[in-house]
Parts: sequence; structure tokens; C-alpha cells
Amino acid sequence: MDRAGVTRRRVLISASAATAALALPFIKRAGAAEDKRLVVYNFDGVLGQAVKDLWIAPFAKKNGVTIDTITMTGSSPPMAKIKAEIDAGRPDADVIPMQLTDHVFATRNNMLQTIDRGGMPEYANLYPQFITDNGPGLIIWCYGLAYNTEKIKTPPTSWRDLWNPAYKSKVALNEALFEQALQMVNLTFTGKPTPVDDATFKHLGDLKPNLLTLWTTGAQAEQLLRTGEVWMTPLWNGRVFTLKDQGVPLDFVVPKEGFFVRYDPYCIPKGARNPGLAKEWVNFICNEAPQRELAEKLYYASPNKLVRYPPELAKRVVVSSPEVLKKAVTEDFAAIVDHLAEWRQRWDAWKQS
Amino acid sequence: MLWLLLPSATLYVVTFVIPLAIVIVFSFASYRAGVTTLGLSLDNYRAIFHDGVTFGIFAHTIRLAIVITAACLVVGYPVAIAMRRARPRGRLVLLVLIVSPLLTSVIVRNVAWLLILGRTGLLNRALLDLGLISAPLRLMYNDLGVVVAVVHVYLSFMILPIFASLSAIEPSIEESAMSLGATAWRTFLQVTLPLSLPGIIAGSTIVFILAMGIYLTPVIMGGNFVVTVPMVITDLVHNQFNWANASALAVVLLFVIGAAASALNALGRRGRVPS
Repeated sequence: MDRAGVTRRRVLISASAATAALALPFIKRAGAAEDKRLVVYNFDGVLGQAVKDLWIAPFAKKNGVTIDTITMTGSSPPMAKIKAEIDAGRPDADVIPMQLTDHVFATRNNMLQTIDRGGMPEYANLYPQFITDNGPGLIIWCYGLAYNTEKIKTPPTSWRDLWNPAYKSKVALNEALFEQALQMVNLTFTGKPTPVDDATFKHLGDLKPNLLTLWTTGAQAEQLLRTGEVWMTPLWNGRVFTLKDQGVPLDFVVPKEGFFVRYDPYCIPKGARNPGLAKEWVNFICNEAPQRELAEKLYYASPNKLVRYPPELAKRVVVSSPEVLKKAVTEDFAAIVDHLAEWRQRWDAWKQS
Repeated sequence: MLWLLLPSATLYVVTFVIPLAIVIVFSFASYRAGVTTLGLSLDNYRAIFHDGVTFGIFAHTIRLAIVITAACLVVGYPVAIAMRRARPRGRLVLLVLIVSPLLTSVIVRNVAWLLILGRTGLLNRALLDLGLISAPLRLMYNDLGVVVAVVHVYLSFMILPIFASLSAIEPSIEESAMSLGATAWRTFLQVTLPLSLPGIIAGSTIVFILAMGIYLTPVIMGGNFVVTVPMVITDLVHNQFNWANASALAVVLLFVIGAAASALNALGRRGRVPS
């Protein structure tokens, strides 16, 4: 009846054998010294490399553990995938740095472990506003104005300089952080980041003649600034000073209306395989030495009070003291997430207009 | 012999049918304040047509895909004819040239276009130096830039089916038309073109479907000012965590693409020459 000699049973047997063979590496790996292995999400590019060199390698070496990394595309972890894994009880990582909007989403969906503050000795040295219930907010980056020093002789002092008619088609905004662009517009004209309303979009409309493009990634912003196509754009400090060191004629200013501060809470998902070691590592990276080293290398500020910055570095990290931090815009990320859909639609409508 | 289909059927079910079913289930879910609840709500579909923005983006995506398809046809048809007439070696050279854009990554291709179409790019510089323009033209960060970059890469999907159709035409048919007194132009319009219709339909279908899914090129070449449905879906999933809305949009997108493909197919059937 079956010329090829294939019976249903034989198919089933070979199929299960194949499945077992495919699953074998995973079963074996799961058995290997699990308490000695940590999996963490990491950034790509230079930041990812710096985190590997300064935060991961020293801890792994000192404690004789293995830390594997999963590289994120962009700066945001794949939240949909992570949520599905947590719901199934098996997240693929023990530690996940999250953008602040990702963090709101994660807490609302009950995805993260609460980290007992008492169990984290290094928390004592952090500025309290950077400690969340799910982990410390690290890698503080500041949003100010990046500008081309060859084309713009008088340094900008205000966000309002983006509207200067002299910069027709020479300005760009960050599409990926459009909610911040909207708050920036409000900050410029009303002194407060919210509410986003008709007036916000009117001012944004006035900016349109100056807008060459809306970029999405730091690499794109870099390319626009390098080629001189864009003279001024809101950008984060670390990216600007890294380029400046490479000889690109750029500088960074903190506008007088204030600046935006973002950071990544380092969180432990529910169902993480190794929460104990994860906490140890997170506590380790909060320490003065790894924090200072990252600031020295890439100019991202630290929430650790013990980190001292020499004057030139203090300028570059921006948030070098509690006094400077007071000038940062207070953002309500829960409210941002709640308004995201509405703002996005108005933003898309504005782009088509 | 049906068991021979088992591997492909399994693959198809696992990678296509099941994910699609999940998307369809999610398209009826409801989303509030970051939390998705499964259910049987039509709100996500209603929102597409009534929120005042999404429908416009949909219309623009379709318009863009039509322009891209038409441009591919206009640019690609003469190339297909040239390929048919070329000798084997010339044909090979043309083929390599046509397929070469597919061998580079979308980012590399777009960066190359930035260097050509940018304000300080090759083209603007050349036009300025020749004195043809006095200020740089806006050749990108708009629909034009997107169309140019997308046509560049999808052209091969138009040319190859048309070339295949043209190759299948017996030269004697065209020769008969000519010997009966038809001009070259008339022979083309009344003989060659109708006979190559299956290739045109196949090419247009592939290019249109691909063009409805463009995502990265509008981001880079359109400077995000050009918004397509796939970009909206990505944003909903990635930044807004609104999988319910994203799924409904994906289902409608799939439906529109399916409808367009069937319409083109029907057109091809009607235009077929009875043999």
C-alpha cells in the first residue's frame, strides 16, 4: 500500500528522533552550572561594547561566572517577545535594561520582579530619584542641542534657536522620541512640557520650513551632522562628545529652558532563572568604579553620588551634581504612555500636513 | 504521494498559519493603558476608518505602491526588450546589473542614495555646477526619494517576468505582422505588448505586494515624513505596545494586498489571448 515503505509509525519515530536531536543542546545547556550563568540584554554599538568591557567582564572574572549577552537592536528590548516568554514562565534573560516607556509597560503587565531596596547595599549611594521598584536607573543620558560649530558661530542658548529662519532646511528632530520633541516644543513656548495641544502643533508647524528630516537612530543623526546636511538637532550628550573627539565640528549645549534626562532601569523579569546572581550583578554595576569608568569613556552620567567628575568631564556628562539635575525636565512616563496613541496620531497628521 | 507535502505543510503551518491565526485573534482584542485583553471587539477595525489619520496613511501607502509599480513598469519594460534582443553575453551582463541591488543590504543601498540625492549630493552638485539650478532641489526626504530607492531594488521583480513572457513569443509572429505591412510601432502595440501581458501582470503583482510592505526606505529616504502602513504597525507594536490595533491593521493590509493581487490576476485572465 505504501510503495516507498514509509509507514505512519516510521514517520512518527523519525519525527520524534529529530525533535529530540534538536532539543538536545538546550536540555544539556539547562543542566550546566545554572547558578554560575547570567544572561543580560545589552546595547549594540560602542555603548554595548563599553558595558561588556566595564560592567560585565570584571564581574564575571571576579566571581568566576559566565555572563552572556543578547544584543538589542536600537536601545529598546523586544518587549512583545519578552512578555510572551514571561507569560510562559521562561524569560530568556535575567537582567533587562529598559527605556522608561518600556518600563511603564512592563510594570503594568506585571512582568518584573520587585527588588527589595534593603537587599541592594549600593542603593545607599544612589540619588533616590533614579531608584525604581524594579531596579536602578543607569546610563543617564541628557538631551540638549547639538550644533555644527563651523556653520553656527554663535552657540545656541535656547530650544527656540531651532526656529531661527537662518536655518532653513538645516534642522532635524528625532522621530524615535517624538513624544520628547512634543514636550520640547511646549517647554520652549510655555515653560512646561505638557499638555500637548493645538498650540504645540501650531509651533511645530512653524518649525517645518527648517526641518530637513526626522531621524530615527543615533547613527543616522551622526551621518546627517557629519555631512553638514543638518546644522542643529536635539541629540544626547554622549553621542555628540564622542563625535567631537573624532574631530567632527560639533558641540553640545544645554538650553536655558531646561533639558531632558533619560536613563535605563536595569530590571529582573519574573521567572528569571538566576535572580540571586542577577541582583548581585546589578548591585555591582551601581558601584562607583564601573559607574565612573562608563562616564569617563562615553560621557553618560551616573546616579552614584560618589562618582566625582573633573571639570571638563562634568561639562560633558551634564548631570554632574544635584544642582544641575534640578534643571532637568520632570517627565511623567505613565502619562506619556497613556497619551502615546493620541500624540502619535496628531504627530502623523502633522507630518502629512 | 501526499506525504511528500508533509515537510512543506508543517513549515507552512508553523511559520504562517499559526502566526496568522494569532494575529487574527489579537485583532479582536482590546487594549487599554498598556494592557491587552483578548475578546471579540471590532473597535480596532473601526479605528482604522474613523480615527481620521490611519485611513489617510492607508490611502497614501496604496498610492505610493501604485506609483512604484507603474515606475517599475515604465523603466523595466524597455530593459526587458533589450534583454530579449541582446546576445547571450550581453543578456548575462544585463541580468547581473538588474539583480545586483538585491545583493546589497537595504541600509547600504539607502546610504548610497543619500550620497546621490542629498542636498549636497552628486546630483544636486552636478546641477548646481552646470548652472541649471540656483539652489539644491529637494530630491529626497519626500515621496520622490522613496520611489527612486524602492524602484531601484524592485525593478528586477518587474523585468524578469516580462523578459520571460517576451522570450516565449515566437519571433515569427512579429515577423508575420511586419510582412503584412504593420509598422514596428503597430507590431509592438498589437502583437508584442498583448502577448507579454502575463509577464506584466506577474511583475506588477509582485512589485505591488512588495511595495505595500516598504518600511525602512521611507524611514531613511522619506525622512519619516512619508508614513506607510508597515511603519504604523511597527510603531504600534514596538513603541505603543498596542498589538490589538497593530493586528487589525495587519489583517486589513493583508486583505487589501489579497484583493489587489486577485484583481490583477483577473485582469490577466481576461486579457489572455485565446490559443
